[in-house]
Amino acid sequence: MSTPALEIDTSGLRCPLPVLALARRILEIPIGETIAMTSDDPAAGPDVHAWARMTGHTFLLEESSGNGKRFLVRREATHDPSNGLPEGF
Amino acid sequence: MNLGAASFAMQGGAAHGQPSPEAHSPVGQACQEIASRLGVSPHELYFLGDGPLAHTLALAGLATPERQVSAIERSEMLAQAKKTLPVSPAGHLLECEMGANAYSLGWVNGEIGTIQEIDSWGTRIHQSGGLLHTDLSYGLGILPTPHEWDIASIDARAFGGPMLGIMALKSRTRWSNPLPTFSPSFGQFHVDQRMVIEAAAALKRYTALAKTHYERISTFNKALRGRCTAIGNIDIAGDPAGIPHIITFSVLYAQGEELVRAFALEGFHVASGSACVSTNLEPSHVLSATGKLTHGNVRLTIAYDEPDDSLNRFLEILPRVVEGVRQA
Repeated sequence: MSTPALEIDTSGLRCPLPVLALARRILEIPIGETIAMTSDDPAAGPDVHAWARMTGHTFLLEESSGNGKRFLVRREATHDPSNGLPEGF
Repeated sequence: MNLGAASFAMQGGAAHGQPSPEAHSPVGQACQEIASRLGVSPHELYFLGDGPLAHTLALAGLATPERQVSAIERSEMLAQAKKTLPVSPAGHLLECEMGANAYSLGWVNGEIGTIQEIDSWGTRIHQSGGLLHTDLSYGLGILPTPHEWDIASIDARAFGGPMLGIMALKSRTRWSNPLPTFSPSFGQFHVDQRMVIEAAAALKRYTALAKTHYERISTFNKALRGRCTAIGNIDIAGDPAGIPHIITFSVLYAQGEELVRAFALEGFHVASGSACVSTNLEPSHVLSATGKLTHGNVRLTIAYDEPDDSLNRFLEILPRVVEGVRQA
């Protein structure tokens, strides 16, 4: 798998902040590219899965990383270009 | 006259056949009423200090190392699972290979309201020679009670009763007291008979209320689901055809704790399965197992006599509360 276009670390952040960071930062990469996020929040696994399903991005991979997990998500051309983020986020 | 757990503890492994309370005493009548709702006879009932204890002992007494437990059961059951059985996104047990000695599958899930086909699963489990434990707490008094199970446990608080656990053990079921060392001091399991009487009265009240208001609460359930869909980016858990008074949804980008607080300020007491609200910082295993968003979670357990005014007000404030917390 190719290197992610963006790698972010949300260690120390608790729900919903890791998913919020992912939703914001994925907008910085081109459609079709991937973003990797590291998180030590136990809720991040189910939440990244559910978030990808809700927004339309593709969940590619989940792997152990240090005290937490690393997730790989591909940005898709979603129906809502803002990922449902409220204004001002 | 001995009631419930005291009897089973005294009898150790052979838990069956203790004398029933006199049929015409108040406690005898209470037992009769509860038993008839469960489709068992009064001597097949056992009363324990609370629901979790009843759940724990009911499954533990099916002496087998092969317990298979659905992924959305309570932690009392999951802690005893050799294998956890996956469920669908709506929370229904998925097709699985039968053949284990014992299964635990709750009837109505207390977090997401999904109803399992207990009679159909029970038949299949019995055909393959296994036993079925079921938690009947959340459908009792509302829906016709299923019967293809071997042992059931109930938390009386689910139907507005006192802190009391009820265990129904069909007399043909091979079950042995998992705590035989407690036998000589059964006082630990003593249950005041007034609790049993109170539970029977609560079940009667709850049944009447559910009958009167079932359609009304179902209408609210549909309206709330519709409202969540209209607001957008809300993940509704469970099955739309589930029990109407339990509704769980998760608000994307919102914090569960903030939502609970915001609803409280509006006068609504809601629960949450989000990690930030739980004591161990783990999100609800029911939400995880069904693949639902775990943050921003709100769980409503609606009383069947909740007035229309308050239900309508909830629908009215929902968009504002969600928006407020998302922006916070």
